[in-house]
Amino acid sequence: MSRSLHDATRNSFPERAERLTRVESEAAVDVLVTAPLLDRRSWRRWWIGVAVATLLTLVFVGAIAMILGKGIGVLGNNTSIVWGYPIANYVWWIGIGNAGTLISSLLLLTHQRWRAAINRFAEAMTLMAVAIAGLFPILHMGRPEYFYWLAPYPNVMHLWPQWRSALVWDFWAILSYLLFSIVFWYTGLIPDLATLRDRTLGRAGQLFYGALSLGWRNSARHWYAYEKYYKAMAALAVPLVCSVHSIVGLDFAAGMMPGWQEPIFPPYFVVGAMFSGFAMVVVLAALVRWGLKLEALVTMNHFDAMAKLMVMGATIMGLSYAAEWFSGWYSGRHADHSLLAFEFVGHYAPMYWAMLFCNVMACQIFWFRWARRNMAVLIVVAILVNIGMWLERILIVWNTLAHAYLPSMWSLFAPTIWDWAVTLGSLGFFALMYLIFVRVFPAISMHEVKQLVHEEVAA
Amino acid sequence: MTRVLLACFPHPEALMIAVRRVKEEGAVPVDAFTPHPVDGLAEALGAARTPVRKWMLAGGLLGGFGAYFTEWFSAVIDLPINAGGRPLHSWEVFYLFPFEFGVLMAGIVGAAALLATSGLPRLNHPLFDVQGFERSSQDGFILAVEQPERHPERLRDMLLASEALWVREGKT
Repeated sequence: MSRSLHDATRNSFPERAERLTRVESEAAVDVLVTAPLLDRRSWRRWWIGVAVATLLTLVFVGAIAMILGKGIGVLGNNTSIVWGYPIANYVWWIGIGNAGTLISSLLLLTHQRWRAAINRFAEAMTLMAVAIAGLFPILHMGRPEYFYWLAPYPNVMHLWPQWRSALVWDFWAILSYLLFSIVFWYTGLIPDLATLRDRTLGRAGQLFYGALSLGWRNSARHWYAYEKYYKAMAALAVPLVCSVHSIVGLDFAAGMMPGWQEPIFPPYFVVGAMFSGFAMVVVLAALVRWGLKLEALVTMNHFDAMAKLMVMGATIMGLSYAAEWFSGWYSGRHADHSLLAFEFVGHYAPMYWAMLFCNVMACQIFWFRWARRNMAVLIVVAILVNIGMWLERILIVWNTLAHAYLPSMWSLFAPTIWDWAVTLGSLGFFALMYLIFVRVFPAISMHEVKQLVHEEVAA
Repeated sequence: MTRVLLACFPHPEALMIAVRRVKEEGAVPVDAFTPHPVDGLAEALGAARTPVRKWMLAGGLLGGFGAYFTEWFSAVIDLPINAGGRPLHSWEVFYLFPFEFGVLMAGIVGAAALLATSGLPRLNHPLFDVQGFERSSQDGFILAVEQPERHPERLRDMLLASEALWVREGKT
């Protein structure tokens, strides 16, 4: 099999602007994508990654145990700033999650064929990010053991959930989104699992992939139903993903606080989510392509397209911030004017300026073609965007709560070690799940890329 | 169980031409097995029908209206609470949960319908016994034609003449 990998890479040709991939045949796609899973390759770098990620995951588990065992008093939250890191992390992670679904559904519906090479690992990112996001509101509760009270179920107290509460909307938004994403991702994976079943040589692998592929046999009848289903799922996923982050935006907008009570919040949160998610996809695409040697399938043309979307996102973010400042000023209310001044020159002003630089300015370099095709620039800017978006989430919480209507309530937030442990730990947990994903499942949707390669070769 | 002749083609265009020729010869193409969806193939086989989207619509509507009914029943009939004078039937926010839940149910019912109408999960199948059938998930475009009672060798020759890499017998 390693010889066929050699052939496949030898068959690949130098990158051309008019072609998305660099392979000549459908068989080469299979070889490239399945080789890391089926060949006896050196996984040394992978094990190093797993070791680091496991360590951070232990930190995460320890922090969660501390928060659940001792209560939320171990965090930096105080009586003014009642929302802290958990809510910022929740919004950040669910935002990362949004991009995977947008890539797989919105770009499918708009016939952006380049998505085929990146949608699988972007969807996996969605699943893991949403699963982590779902943990944070629970960690943030005073009595997390009762979180299931948010669901309507027959109970001896004869109580029902309060449907007008943003917390209940959140519960259903995250739950529906997570389960829907799992179904979408798994059904997209079935044909590729069948390919792995047919290519693997070991008995254990055949049983494993055979059972997971549910006996898929590539029948034209099945493909027909599959395509109808998959397109319908994509059409459902777009409004779902927009509604999920709109509901997250409503968590803030429904609160009667200066700086939060703004109708622009739902769309502004959706754009921010797409933006930060794309930045994360760029980082993951660079890592997956390097780690699994998929340079022939995920080419610089893909990064070029993603960078264009990021520069669009950054510009819309800039407009959203401007709209936010304008409505604060135009409201004519003292509390809003005072908050605006606090944002620009108050205690958190350095973070605010850093956020503006990361989210609005950094991406403007992608107006230049050389920057869109330079891996170092892409990764640095993508990481800056992720940091900037996290700063935005924490500052939405901090600025408003630190500087609300009543001056006697003004106070600042001092993060504790557990705030940092749960935040950095969640990154480690994400990395661990992601490493397991690329070791077990094909990171690229083979049947979709094969179709793309076929069309490109025929053209 | 139908006895079929399986012919493997190197690319979808050859498969589509073979489907047309088989039909011209009066034989019945039963099914085809391809690594990726081929445009117009299901139509050519007369199999371009699926109830999956109807199931998705039904699941979505039932989930959505069921969720809305739950909200209305609990907030208006079973546990009316006057929260700051807000109307008991607050439809302005009551559509959020039904929307999320309806989309979720459409997805789950759609996946179940896709599997059920395709006869999956079915981990084994007589076709998997045919040598070379595993190419259909990789780079082979396999056509299954009902084996005619008279002169099956004529069909076989015709398939081989239309660029088939191999022709073998199987059951479907």
